[in-house]
Amino acid sequence: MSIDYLLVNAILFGALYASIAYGLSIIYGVMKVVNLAHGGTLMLGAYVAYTLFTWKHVDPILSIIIALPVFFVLGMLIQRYLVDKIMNAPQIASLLLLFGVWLLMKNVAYLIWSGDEVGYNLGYALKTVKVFVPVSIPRVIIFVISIVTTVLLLMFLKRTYLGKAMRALSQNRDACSLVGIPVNRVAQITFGLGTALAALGGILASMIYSFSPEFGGNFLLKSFCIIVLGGMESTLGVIVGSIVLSLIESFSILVIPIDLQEMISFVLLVLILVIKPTGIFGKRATI
Amino acid sequence: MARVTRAQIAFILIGLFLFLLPVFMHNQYVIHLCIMTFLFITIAIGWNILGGYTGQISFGHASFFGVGAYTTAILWLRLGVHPLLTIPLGGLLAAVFGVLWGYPLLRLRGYFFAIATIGVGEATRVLASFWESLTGGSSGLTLPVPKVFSKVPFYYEMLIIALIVFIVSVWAYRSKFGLGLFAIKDDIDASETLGVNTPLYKILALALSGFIVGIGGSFYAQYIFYVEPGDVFSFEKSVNLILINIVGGIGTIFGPIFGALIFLVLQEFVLVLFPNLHLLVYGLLLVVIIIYQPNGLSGVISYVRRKIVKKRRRGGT
Repeated sequence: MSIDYLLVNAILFGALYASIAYGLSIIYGVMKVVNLAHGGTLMLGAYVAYTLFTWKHVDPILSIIIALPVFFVLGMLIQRYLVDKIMNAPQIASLLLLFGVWLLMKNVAYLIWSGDEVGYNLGYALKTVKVFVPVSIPRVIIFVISIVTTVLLLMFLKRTYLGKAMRALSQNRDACSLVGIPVNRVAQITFGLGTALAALGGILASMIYSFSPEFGGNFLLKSFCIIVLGGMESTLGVIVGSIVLSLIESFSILVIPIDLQEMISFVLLVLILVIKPTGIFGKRATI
Repeated sequence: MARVTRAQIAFILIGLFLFLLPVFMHNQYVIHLCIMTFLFITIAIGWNILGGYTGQISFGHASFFGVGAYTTAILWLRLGVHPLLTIPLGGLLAAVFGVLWGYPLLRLRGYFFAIATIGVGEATRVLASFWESLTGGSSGLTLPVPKVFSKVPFYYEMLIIALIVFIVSVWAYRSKFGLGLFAIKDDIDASETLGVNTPLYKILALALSGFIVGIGGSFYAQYIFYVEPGDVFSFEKSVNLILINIVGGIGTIFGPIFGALIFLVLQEFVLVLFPNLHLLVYGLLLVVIIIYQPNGLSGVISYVRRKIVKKRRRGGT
């Protein structure tokens, strides 16, 4: 296993991880709610891409455009009719509530798609291009879409009124209502955006992984590890966290048996939470 | 003469009934259901001490269950220790295991602890599957099934464990220790200011919680005669414990009992009719209870009781 191969691999995976983690990060950042339904949304996103592909041969790139508005609305509904009802309850209530939503999503998936492990075969899945080392085309596409998503997300958060309102909400909810930001509406949009981003992550992941209704749990833990690494709040933190995690995972192959790979994100999560709970940058203590 | 409360009389009567049940009930299936109910009550009480009393929600309690189960399996199979003797050892090892991961992780609050425990559960399962020389890997360990097999001894074994655990949980609820735990749940900073040694209390709650669930796992191994990581360490086991407590009433004395009864009825009678819908039912239960009645069935019962008392008073005047 040569070093350049591992390095390219890590960067490609880092981009995928980032787009998987954005949804969790944005909802936590703005609302201080950990969306345990994140894993379920990833899974549903993957299945939507799968269905569109096997049914009408819709390319996953196109599925993204079709699926995102639907998931956006789904997220808004979850916020409006479920999460919003318990905003004043202890923090842990929203965790359990969203866990319930995850179970519901899983069951819906079992009913529609059964429990079999599925995947789909893109026509160009086996072709490769050379980026220092040979890389399969879907992974290049994933990388490009991740970069585009990142740029769009950053521009949205920094430039638009809505993005600024979200960032304001993440700083001080009460002050926001004082200055006339429609807090509830912004919260709904945030949840919608987070859910849509999670679905995007799921669609991207479906291009290279096989999946079942249980898919997503692993990525939930990874996403959480990433946003903790990145210091919980910032989009840039997510990017750094993703690259750190994927670098460690890729290079760990040299020293750790492959069966224990699943443990890496968890061990990393615990180490960071215990040693440096403010993340790599360590600006704010949010815990 | 010491006053005997109605609750104590009820407790003794129910206990007597349960002790006599196998004498006139010979249906093996019913006995099995009772054993499983006692087991679920026991481990749900274990979870409740950390999750309900102390407010530290754990998604990783299957790790305790698995450690208890494997302790029994390994000691019995490899060293020939009598399975009954392994029960306290299973609990003890689970408690020690809990202290090992709890020491760093209990510093985290709320969400962070909960998410980290998902990792604990998963990591333990992966490790147990990987460590083949000790655990038999993912194919598990099969234990020697005796030639003559009756469920009745297991019935009494589990009943006694459940009763003791229940009494411990009532004691923990009422003692100074329990008050400290509830204080941590309500407001950790305030309780620290008032002199509760919160790190110590939290780790003790985790150890006790782990001990009880470990005992349950240990019993489970000798009752089922088979352990495998995908079963005893499964995320589903952890989730079931949360569900039982939420349904019954999180942080109450009777919550785990109500919850385990409902859970068993659901699992054995309702969901066998609709095997594809069990996650849907669990998910709906969670969502509805969290939004409308965060105290579960215990909350409903105390609400109804208050209503009745009010009505009586109004009728009496």
